Amino acid sequence: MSNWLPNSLLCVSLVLASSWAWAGGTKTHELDDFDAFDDGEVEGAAIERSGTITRGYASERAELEHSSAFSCLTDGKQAWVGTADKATIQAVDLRGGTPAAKQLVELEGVVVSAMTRLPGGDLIAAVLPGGKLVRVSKKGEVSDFAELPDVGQIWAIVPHKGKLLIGTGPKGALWSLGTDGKNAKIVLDVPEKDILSVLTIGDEILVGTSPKSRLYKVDSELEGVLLHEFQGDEVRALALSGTWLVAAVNEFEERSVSSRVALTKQLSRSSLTGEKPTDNNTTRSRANADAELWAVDLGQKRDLLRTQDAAWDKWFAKKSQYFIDLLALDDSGTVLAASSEGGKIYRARGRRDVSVVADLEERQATSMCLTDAGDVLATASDGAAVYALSQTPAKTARWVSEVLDAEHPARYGSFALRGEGKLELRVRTGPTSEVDDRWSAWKPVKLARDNDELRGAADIPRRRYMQVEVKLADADASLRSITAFYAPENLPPLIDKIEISSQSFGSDDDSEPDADIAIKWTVDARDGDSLLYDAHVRAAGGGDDEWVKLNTAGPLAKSETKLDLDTLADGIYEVRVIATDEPSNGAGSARRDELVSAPFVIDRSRPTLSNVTHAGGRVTGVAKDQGSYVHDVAFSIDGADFRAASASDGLFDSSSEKFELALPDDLGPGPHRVVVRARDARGNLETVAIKVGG
Amino acid sequence: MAALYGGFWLAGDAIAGGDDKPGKHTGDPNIIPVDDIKPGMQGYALTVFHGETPDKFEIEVVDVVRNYLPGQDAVLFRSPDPRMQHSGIVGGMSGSPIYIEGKLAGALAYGYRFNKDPLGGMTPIENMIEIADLPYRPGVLTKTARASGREGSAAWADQMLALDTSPLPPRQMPEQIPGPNGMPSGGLEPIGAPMSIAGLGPHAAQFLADATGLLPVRGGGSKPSDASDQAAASSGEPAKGAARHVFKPGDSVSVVLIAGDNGAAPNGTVTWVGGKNSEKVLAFGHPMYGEGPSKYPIANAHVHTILASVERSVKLSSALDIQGTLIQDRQPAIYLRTDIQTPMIPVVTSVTGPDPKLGARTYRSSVADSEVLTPPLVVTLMLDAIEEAGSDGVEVVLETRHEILLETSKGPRTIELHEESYYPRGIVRGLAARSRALLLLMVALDNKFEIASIKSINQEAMVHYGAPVEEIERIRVANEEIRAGDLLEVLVDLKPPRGPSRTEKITVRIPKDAGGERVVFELGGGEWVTPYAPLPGNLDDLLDNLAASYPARSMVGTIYRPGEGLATEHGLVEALPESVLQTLSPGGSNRQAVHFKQAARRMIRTDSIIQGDASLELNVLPAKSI
Repeated sequence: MSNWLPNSLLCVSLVLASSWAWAGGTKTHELDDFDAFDDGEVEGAAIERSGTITRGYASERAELEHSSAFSCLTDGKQAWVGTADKATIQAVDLRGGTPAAKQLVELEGVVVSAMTRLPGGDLIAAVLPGGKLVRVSKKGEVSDFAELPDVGQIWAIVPHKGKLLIGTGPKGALWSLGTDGKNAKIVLDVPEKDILSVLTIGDEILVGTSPKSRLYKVDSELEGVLLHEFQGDEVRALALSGTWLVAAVNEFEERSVSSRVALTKQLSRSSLTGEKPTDNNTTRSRANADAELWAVDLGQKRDLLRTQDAAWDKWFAKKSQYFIDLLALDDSGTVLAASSEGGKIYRARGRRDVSVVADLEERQATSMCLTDAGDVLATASDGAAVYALSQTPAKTARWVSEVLDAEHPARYGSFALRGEGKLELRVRTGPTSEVDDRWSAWKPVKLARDNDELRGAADIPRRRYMQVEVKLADADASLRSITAFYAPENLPPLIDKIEISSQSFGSDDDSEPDADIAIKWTVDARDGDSLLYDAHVRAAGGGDDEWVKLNTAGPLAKSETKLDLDTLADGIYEVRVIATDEPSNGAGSARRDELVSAPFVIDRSRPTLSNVTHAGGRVTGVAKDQGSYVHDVAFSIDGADFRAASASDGLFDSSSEKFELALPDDLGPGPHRVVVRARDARGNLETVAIKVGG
Repeated sequence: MAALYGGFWLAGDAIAGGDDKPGKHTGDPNIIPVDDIKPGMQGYALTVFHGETPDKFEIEVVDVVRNYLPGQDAVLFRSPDPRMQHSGIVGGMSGSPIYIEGKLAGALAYGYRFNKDPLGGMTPIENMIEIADLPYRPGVLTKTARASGREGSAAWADQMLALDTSPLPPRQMPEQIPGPNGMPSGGLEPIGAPMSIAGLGPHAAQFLADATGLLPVRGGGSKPSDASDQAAASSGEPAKGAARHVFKPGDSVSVVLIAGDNGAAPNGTVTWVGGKNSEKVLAFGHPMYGEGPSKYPIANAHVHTILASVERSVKLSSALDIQGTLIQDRQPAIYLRTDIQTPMIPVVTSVTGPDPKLGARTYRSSVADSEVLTPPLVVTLMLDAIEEAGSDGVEVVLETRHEILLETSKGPRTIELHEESYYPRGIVRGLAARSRALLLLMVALDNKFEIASIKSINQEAMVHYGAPVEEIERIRVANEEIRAGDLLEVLVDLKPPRGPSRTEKITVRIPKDAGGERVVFELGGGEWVTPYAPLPGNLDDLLDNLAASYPARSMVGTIYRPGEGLATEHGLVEALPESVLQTLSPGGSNRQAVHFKQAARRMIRTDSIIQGDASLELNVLPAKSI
């Protein structure tokens, strides 16, 4: 009986991190694919594209006292990190495993947007806003290096053949500059505002742009060669791994100009009072952006023109985030992509091999550099930190799910894990979608092997929200799926109102209204349960044992039925509707609600016509009705259309009305058949025929 | 004068400590402790009824009220003196020393409104003397509990700049202000110090009363001739030579807020004088504002007469010469030092009226240096000058110029402001709500960076009759199509207060890279458009931002675009790529990044003052390739 099948069951195959229902009120959270796992957080674990959690990179973290780390640079042994809010350069010592950061210098500006290192060891740094480059010595001494005219932002500084290539905005220019800070000249001038990414491949130079996500090659002509245009707003980063050219392309939801009033007032208030706006609700919705990783195989000759006509592969795409940096990890087509959400760093090795290899504590992973040892230095924003990520597996690994919502307070049953090796499970529950002090403590779940699963249950508080943590407790451990069974509190349905349509008719109707009337009710299941209904009728004020079931063939699945008036005597009646959520919860746990309608009248008795006589060209008579009042009287001559007669007192407003009608003057000679018709307020008709003339 | 005592409960906390009852028990045989005062005891008080010499009047103790204020008793007394029977307890008698059995008992300090008997309250001298050991602390920032109840310059900026983010509470008249902690006024209360004003018109006086919470009493203010009973408002300069005055108990004393050609000085009476050179003076017997450490100039005063009133009688007085500084404003008294001088801020106010036959006038005054009171005091002088130039309620244009010399940690600087505003129904009510100079002064003295030192102010007002003003009635685009890089031609219908509208065409360049965007063109009168400015990193930046404005006789056309930039203390970072903008706007903090819409703006000068604004949404087509 398909009507009994819960909707959520029907569409389960369309849902990724699914919650779905079994019969009898039991539901499950089913977490078994990459996206479901990726919605959670990992520490020392990797999430493979195949939907498996394995051991990930070992990481060591050093916190920075700034709001954001934005850029990084390494010479293989030492690294430098540029920060935002205060534009500082932090020197990061990579010896000893755990990175140790120490401020080298604070520069004038908002953010250190790009850095490079000169052969002599001095750093060249660019700071937003402006087109100024400064030289920073090993001791942190700052001196002017160069200033590029008409440049508002510098996004990339790349050494190339004894010069520096500098990607800039807002004029979309790529500059070439000597390592002495002289001979600045524009080598590429594109229509887009910003050259965000610069990549050199042998002697060739590639750039990615914004706000159109285009890929250009520097050419002898200043406008360069347009190699490819992606669907999106920016080519944020480029990387070359082996023969694969990889581009991080972001597309953002367009901002509306309608926010100008609020923004302008906010700017005025902040600039004229010195007070920055505050918002104690620090939770932030995810970015309205789509991030995509595109790649093309350039071949062994690194033929850049293949980017124009060879097929680009979309290796990876994520919603509600954007990519900030790319790093080629090896020469066999492996890149890391730093994401704006969850501090995630994804590793891509082609279209089918993508995994999360690091999940930084901070919200954004902003930049990455490779050390001599093959480790990765990663920076984080929204809470600034620097991480040393080792490609050797982490010693400990755990995955914590996102907060799972049962929609109502729920009783939790067993948890079933599928995977390999030793897995440890902890769970906790709480009343809020954000974990806070009201949540229970983590509770270990003792797992036992049951066929190919590990199963166990825990006595945890009945709350709406739940979170699970799985620890990979040995080196070979991996997790493929987890199923959490729960039974949410069953809320009874609520019938809001019952509507009973009246016997309706039109004044021109020549027949009586239909004997069926419609009974409809509105109902709220409140918890998504499927419902069934029973409808009953009885004479108004009757006893409980007088209800007569209308749906004798079984429960109603729709919230409406019909009542055949011919099956009931005239009188005043009422209807009762009973709703039950038994299909979703089983007979034992089902909840129900019932509602009795307002009384309504059934009147199928016809009016009467009496004393219908003809005299002097006029027909008179009396129409009466018992159940209601006389609605109208009409007449028809010789089968023609009915025409209205008049009440003698001018109004049809009572149950007994005298009427009269004047026959037409042009009624021809001979007998004529006059049919008089009376109608009551519910459309019941009575007719009487008389003969006149002749 | 309920407004006077706002905040004195806090002052009590400052001196209460330990288990002992507050008060300095000196053992001085010339002082009678409050514990020795009994009902029925008789004595006398000293105060100036006329001129500058104190007179005696008899009192009789009615009862002693224990813990009338925190740690402070009050002695109720009644006076049989015929003068007191007529006037009741008089505003300005605050601090009048009361002697019982020939010993100093305390200061007359409390009365009640609508009194039928001359029943008053006395603050015990032991509580007062305790504060005479407190030091001068000019560096302590004080927040005067003013009548207006406004909270900081940010709230003013909201109102004046129409930012709409933090509406001000409604203004209240002094008599509407509730008592401490919101308690209703009534019963025995501090008599308060009537503020003697000189050379101020009624509107300026009312504004001053509103801003200071003090009850103004006109005290006259002409320069002295040789009449000994006709005193002048103080010059604002410390007294020298013969003008030096050695205070004695019962003398009239004023706190000088405005001196020079104009005057404003709350008045009371000296209770106690001490120190080797009589440099320590206690007065009032209650607080003025309860600020604690203070730095207001004080002057000896001349009492013209007593204005008897059913509600509250007051002394009509004039401040004479600056004699020292009010250094502590506490629950039991104000503490004055005649060996400490605090400079006042010279303010030169010039006004040119609308009628050329009345020549320009210049007034030279000084105002007290107070983080809270200085700005309204300066505006009071401007209001007074304008009030004299033309009666209020007339359709006028007011043109003002300010030259404010101040010093920040970066050194001295002069800020020049030129403002022009149209007032359809008089200036006085509108000026304080719209003066950028007032806002700038308030911000200079109340901001998150540092407190500036105001050195001097020159302010000039020119009042013009007439209404050279037009309102933007309608705008419409003349271009058939709008393309990036093109000149946007806009027809503006401008409507004067009377007569027909006229149409003017203005042009604004559409940015070259705006093709495909939906933009908003907004046109507004210059006075009502705020220039984009970066976030201030220091007070000088903040003052620069406040001083920047468009002329009132201009229209400002702005093309707002969907893209956003980031406002920082290092400038406005415009047109950032979206990913960079979002990364530089972290969400994990309660301090939100300040974004702004990309905008192209053009200011067009006009002959008239432009009011109002209008806007249009436009779809911009890409630039033609050929």
